Amino acid sequence: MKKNLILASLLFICGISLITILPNSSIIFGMGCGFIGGAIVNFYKYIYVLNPKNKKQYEEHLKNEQNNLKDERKIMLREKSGRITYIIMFVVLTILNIVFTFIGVEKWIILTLWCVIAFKYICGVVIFYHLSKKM
Amino acid sequence: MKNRLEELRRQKGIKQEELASALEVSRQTIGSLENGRYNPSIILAFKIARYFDMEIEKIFIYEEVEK
Repeated sequence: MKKNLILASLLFICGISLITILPNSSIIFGMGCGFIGGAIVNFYKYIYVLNPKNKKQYEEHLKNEQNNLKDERKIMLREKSGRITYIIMFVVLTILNIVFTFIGVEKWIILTLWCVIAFKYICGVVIFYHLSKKM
Repeated sequence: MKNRLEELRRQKGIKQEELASALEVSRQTIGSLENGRYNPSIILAFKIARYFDMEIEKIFIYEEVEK
């Protein structure tokens, strides 16, 4: 939790710095406010944990979080959802590329998209064989 | 694969949350196991068997599907 406090402090300092250094840039100002908002949430969490009333509740929450992270069913579901998303993205990218080709979008965009599709496929095959060798 | 998890848990008089906490899994996993929607890994099956102090075969009943 102390690590979180240090991170929150850093986030707060970054946010203040961004706002004061470049106050006229709307993007930087937005980023700075986002940093400060994140830091405030983390500070609140730290204060909440420090309260002895919430100690038991927080410990239970941590245990549940750990169980959820290690839970084999959830791990399997994460892997499955990743696999399904991979296939959907493959189809979407291919359709998008075909549509772009017919519309007559600039060649470099179409080429980049085909490269992304090829990279995804090659990456999938390479990682599969790498894992297969290890197992 | 069928299992007797719900029956054994009820016999022991514990909640799904308590069993989940003892086995270090989520409550939803216990629910899925009891409904037969999810088959556990061999490690979790051993943990369950040890928790109830029984043999795996007495808890999980494997029925071969006839083709």
